[in-house]
Amino acid sequence: MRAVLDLYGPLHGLSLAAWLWLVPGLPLIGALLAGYIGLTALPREGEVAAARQLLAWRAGVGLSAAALALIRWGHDLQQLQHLARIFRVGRIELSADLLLDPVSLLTASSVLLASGALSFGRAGAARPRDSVLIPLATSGALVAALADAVPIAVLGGLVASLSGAIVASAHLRAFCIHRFSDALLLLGAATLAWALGGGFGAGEFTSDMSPRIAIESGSHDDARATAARSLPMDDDDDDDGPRRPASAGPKPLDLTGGGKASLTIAALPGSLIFLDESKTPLLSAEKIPVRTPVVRLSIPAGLHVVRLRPPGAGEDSLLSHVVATTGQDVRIIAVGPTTSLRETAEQLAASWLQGDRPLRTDLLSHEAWPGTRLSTLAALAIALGALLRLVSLAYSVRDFVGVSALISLPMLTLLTRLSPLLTVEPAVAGMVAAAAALCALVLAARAATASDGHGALVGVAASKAALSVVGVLAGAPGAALLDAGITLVAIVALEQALATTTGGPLLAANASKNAPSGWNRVFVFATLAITASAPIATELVAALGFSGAKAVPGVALLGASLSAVALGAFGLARVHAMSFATRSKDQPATTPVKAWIAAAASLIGAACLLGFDARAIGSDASLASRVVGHALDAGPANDLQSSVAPVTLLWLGLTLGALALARSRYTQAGVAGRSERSDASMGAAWAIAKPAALADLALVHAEALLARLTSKVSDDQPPAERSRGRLVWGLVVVGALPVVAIIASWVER
Amino acid sequence: MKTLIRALSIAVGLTLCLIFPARALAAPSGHITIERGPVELSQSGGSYKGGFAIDNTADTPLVLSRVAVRSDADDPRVPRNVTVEPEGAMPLTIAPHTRKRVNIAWTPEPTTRQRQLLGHVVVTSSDESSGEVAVGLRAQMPTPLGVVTDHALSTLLLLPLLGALAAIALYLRGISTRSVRAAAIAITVTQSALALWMWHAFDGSVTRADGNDGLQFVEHAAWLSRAGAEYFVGADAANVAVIAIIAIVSAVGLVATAPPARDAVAFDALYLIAQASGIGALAAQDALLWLSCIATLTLSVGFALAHFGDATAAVSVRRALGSLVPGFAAIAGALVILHLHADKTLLASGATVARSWSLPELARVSFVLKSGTVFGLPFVKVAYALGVAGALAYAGAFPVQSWLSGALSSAPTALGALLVVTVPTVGLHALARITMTLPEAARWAATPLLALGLASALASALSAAAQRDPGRALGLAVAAQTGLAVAALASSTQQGVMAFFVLIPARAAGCALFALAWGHLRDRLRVRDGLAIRGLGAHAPMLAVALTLGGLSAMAAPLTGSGWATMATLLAAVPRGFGAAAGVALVWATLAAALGRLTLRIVSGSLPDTLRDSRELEPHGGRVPDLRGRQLAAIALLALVVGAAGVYPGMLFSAAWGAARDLGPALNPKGPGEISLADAFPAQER
Repeated sequence: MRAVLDLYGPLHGLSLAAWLWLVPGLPLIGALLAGYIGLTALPREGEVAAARQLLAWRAGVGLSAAALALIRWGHDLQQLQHLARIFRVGRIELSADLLLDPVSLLTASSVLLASGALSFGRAGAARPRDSVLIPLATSGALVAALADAVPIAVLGGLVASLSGAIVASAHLRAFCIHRFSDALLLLGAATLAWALGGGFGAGEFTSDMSPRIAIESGSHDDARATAARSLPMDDDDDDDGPRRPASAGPKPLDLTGGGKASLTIAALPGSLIFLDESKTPLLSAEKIPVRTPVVRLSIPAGLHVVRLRPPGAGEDSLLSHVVATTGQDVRIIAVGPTTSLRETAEQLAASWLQGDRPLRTDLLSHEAWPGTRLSTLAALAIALGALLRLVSLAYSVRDFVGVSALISLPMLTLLTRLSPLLTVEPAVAGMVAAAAALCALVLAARAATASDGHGALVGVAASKAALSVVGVLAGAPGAALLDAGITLVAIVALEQALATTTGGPLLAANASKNAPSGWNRVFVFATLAITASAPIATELVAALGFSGAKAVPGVALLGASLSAVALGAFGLARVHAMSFATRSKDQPATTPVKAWIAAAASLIGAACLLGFDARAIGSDASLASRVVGHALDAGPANDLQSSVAPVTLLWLGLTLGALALARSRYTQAGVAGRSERSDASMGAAWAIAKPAALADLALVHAEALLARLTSKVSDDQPPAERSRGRLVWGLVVVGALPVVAIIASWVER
Repeated sequence: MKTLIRALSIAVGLTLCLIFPARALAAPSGHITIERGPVELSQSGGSYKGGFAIDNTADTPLVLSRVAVRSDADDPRVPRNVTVEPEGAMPLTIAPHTRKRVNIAWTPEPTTRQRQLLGHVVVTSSDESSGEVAVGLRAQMPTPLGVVTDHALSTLLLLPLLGALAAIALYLRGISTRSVRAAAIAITVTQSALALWMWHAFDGSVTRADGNDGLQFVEHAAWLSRAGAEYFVGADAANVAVIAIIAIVSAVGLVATAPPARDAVAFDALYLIAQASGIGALAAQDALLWLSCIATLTLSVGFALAHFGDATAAVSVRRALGSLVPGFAAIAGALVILHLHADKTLLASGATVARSWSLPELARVSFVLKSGTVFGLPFVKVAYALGVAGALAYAGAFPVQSWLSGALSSAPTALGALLVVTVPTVGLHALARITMTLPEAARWAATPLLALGLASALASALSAAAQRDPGRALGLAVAAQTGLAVAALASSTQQGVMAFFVLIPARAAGCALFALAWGHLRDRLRVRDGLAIRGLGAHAPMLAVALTLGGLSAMAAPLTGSGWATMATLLAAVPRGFGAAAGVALVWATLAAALGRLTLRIVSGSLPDTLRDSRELEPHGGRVPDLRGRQLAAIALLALVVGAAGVYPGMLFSAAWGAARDLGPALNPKGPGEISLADAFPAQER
């Protein structure tokens, strides 16, 4: 039996979803269908099969979007679906749970929108495997976005990454970086799980890894009202559970109403629920034992003992003194080790009645070594893993930037869900935000100086991804997610627009070759959406107001972020100027229908995203009011920032001017030479093969030398002559051993 | 006068007492004789009943003071509800030249998890010359196929051995027939079915507390009794899944590949012997039997590789033997040291032996309480170090991992797959065995072993990243996963122990799939450079899927069995320090990058013109032929197992649960089965 806590805290409403699996499942089915069509198609059916595959892709994505739209939203901000218990390691369980909340809804919508746009954009040029692997990547990205636990998010991310790597023809560097990102995420999750381990007994904390459950009863106001009517805890009770502080002063409660209360349990999914002394579990209306998770399960009002029996060989979890007054919904949460960021957030929010947060305090007291908290390391690992994944967009392959962005976007969801932990670890938020801002600046500079359209696009995409990280960490997660979603769709549109230019890979080669006018408009609109949307303004304002733990002045983040946005805008404008705006005699014949469809998709998507009410994401105010609020809320710190801001802007202007001057002097040959140098330097810095070669030199050869020393063998030695006699000898020796053993056994008997 | 006579009488009495031992003056006792065991209990309703007779063969009465099952609360050797009832109340007197019967009954409850009863009844009598005597017991609940499933492990061992001996006889007589391959396939397919049934019927929640040393499907019979060795095999969490994997891989290897052009019968014979000895090495619970199986495995793989490998095989074989022979000697040395310090125990029949080779009995011995040194060092530490060194040599760990990568690169496809599931597995299994036997030494060596495991894993993963030959890269990936497994075990947490036992079969299945898929591709293209191959996905999608799935498993990617185990390893390493966990994460990422780079390169893109126009692909119109027919069916079966382990890892984790419950507390006795954070992070203890 395990002890319990009786805590209070602001919790999001939770409801159960039955069909949430359809959201990632339908694109998966579409991918499998497309694969089946491709495998069974005859060679002469090439075009027809490709059209069918494309249809399967679109159907999967479209139906998934429909399923997402049809999910009913009530007052609850979280919808949970428990799919399966994957395994139990020691006393830690990992379940495949999907969680739909405003954050994941926004990400999933963006992913589906982008995938749909890709399916239309690639209608003419799609290869058969694109129609299989891109919806597969979409499915993986949706799993990553909707996953409740970090390992499941990593798993979805792997499917997406693998599909993206294959579809983009050995997208190796990004694939390798994604694996390092996965390792960081899982390292963080494992560290967090250990840091959360522990329980309360006999007035002191004992660390271990046993999962526990606790009562959490809504907001503090409600809790105080409830506690004022709750029964006193029996001091003589031999239950080693926690004690509510005496100062809470619970008063006797009259439970004679005989009404109904309800029970909500999301902890320990798959467990049977036993009420009071009953030997049989609670049954549903169909007389089937109810298993967690349950939401608002009706129980009689009164004082209860709730027992959860997890599946398998786990021990029961017991909750004594569950006071359920008429009409009250008693929420039971998991306390202890978990890989779910939702459960982590619930634990960090839980408090005693007078406001102390024991679980948060305890988490912060766990140290890996003196002065370094486990929670710091966990938050750092997860945040850096997400950042690494997002900035790996810089290694996107030509024509697949949209796909790469699609598979990286869910990391923002993970980062947003990490916010409760980052709130108690402001230094980590500051460090990672500074790193992200620096990445954004460097990548935007790369976009501004790229020698071709692809380079500019990649730079802008990666820079915006890093900026979104800044936005999340700076306290504007809603705006950051909106910005990332808009950017994703816009990147898809930009990529399609660039694909219509008929010139060579270098910008200078495109200078006299216009793209279709429709794509011209798409490019302009997408550029504006990427660089001048309301969410960006909110992110920038948030950056201004952010000074994580006094270590990272918000003004520095603002300067870097603003510079990154401006440099990205400059890079895209330059691409537009040289590829689209220049007049040419070689006008393309027609404007393809797909251009209009992609433009419409991006317009509708951006409009939908921009119209999304930020309040649903957790902000108390709308985007506009937040922007205005930040602007008006000028305290002493902001005065300082305001004085530094003109300097930053001046520096930014000078930088842009210098870049423009340098760019205007480029010749095609010069650009080519610069491109080669740039690629070589980046390659040398990041190529996985280089450190591997060094390691091989150090390890393989040393080890081979050791093998030679021990076995006196040389690689240069010619292969031994093979004779039948040697084989016969070997057979006799090997065969004799079991024969002798069997004979010995027979003799013994 | 009376006083004088009394004094003389006392003096004479005292003199007699001094001259004759007291025993001779005691009342003469009977002589106990018990029939040879083990006694088979037969089913009778819901119970299993049987008995044996105790004969008094002397002319004086024999008094029995105790007849009881050899078990106690601290060390439950048999399942519960075993009763022993002699004819008559205790103490029981047996008249001269008469006998008394002892009735034994085992009444399993519905919740009884053990399906077998193996134990002893111990009889204490007034016959001091015989001392305490015992008789073995055995009972078996019904199984689906009677004799075959009653003796599942023996069937798994004997089938291929008999097939191999028949093949050797045919080969020595110069008879070469294709029916040998057919028979070998039939044997391995039958084995696979039986091993899968055994895995399915295995109850992973069984622990030592359930009796029978936590073993299931036990076969315990006389073998070399004078030496204290027995034919003792049993299934536990450490071997049940991997035995099934070996059986499946060996069947798939034979079905999916063509026999060698020359000496095909000899190849099949060596293949079957290697497979059987691999299974035997995993199932053996007797140290001598274990060593015999390891020796047979080493020799059979060595001979097969030497004769049927490619041009570089000779170097690979010598390098392999250069690592494996010293490794074997180290394991043997460790076992001999332990045997010499073992306690008196009983054989299956009930006969007493001064020192046993039985591994469960060795695990009971409190070696740390015994004094003794080897080369001036405590013998426990020497034995553990030797055992670990030998185990790591077989597992292909750093710094001797080159033998594995070389052997995998040189071996024919089927042999490579068998090699990768047997030899490194036997090495890891040896590490588990030696740790179970010497948990105190394992605690002593935990930190160095953790460091060694991580260093080995990192070195191998980095080396793999530099390889262009996927065969060599696979060997290094196996070595890296070996290092991770060692780190998992050395973490001493319940999570780590479970990860170790899951990683063994998961790694074996995935790496075998990769070996088979790469072998097929290599045989089709005659190319060893993986980076020179592109476009497999477009040309041969089935082969590409198999290679990708195998590659993902070999790199321990999430959604594979080895990935879940590595995740558990990461979780287990945190209490040993954040640095250890970070090391696991680094190894994981490096390994994924290394194998991912090769696999993705091969699968994606389009086939280079040089390969398209090559002589090998000319008959196929410049296309890489895909898996077809029985090749596809066989490899699909293995892929299904690998995929199932990834999607439903519970099938691996549930089997390992009991072992984690047993070994976890032994390695980490402070907490209720796991390291507490207070121990792991003393800086914050309050």
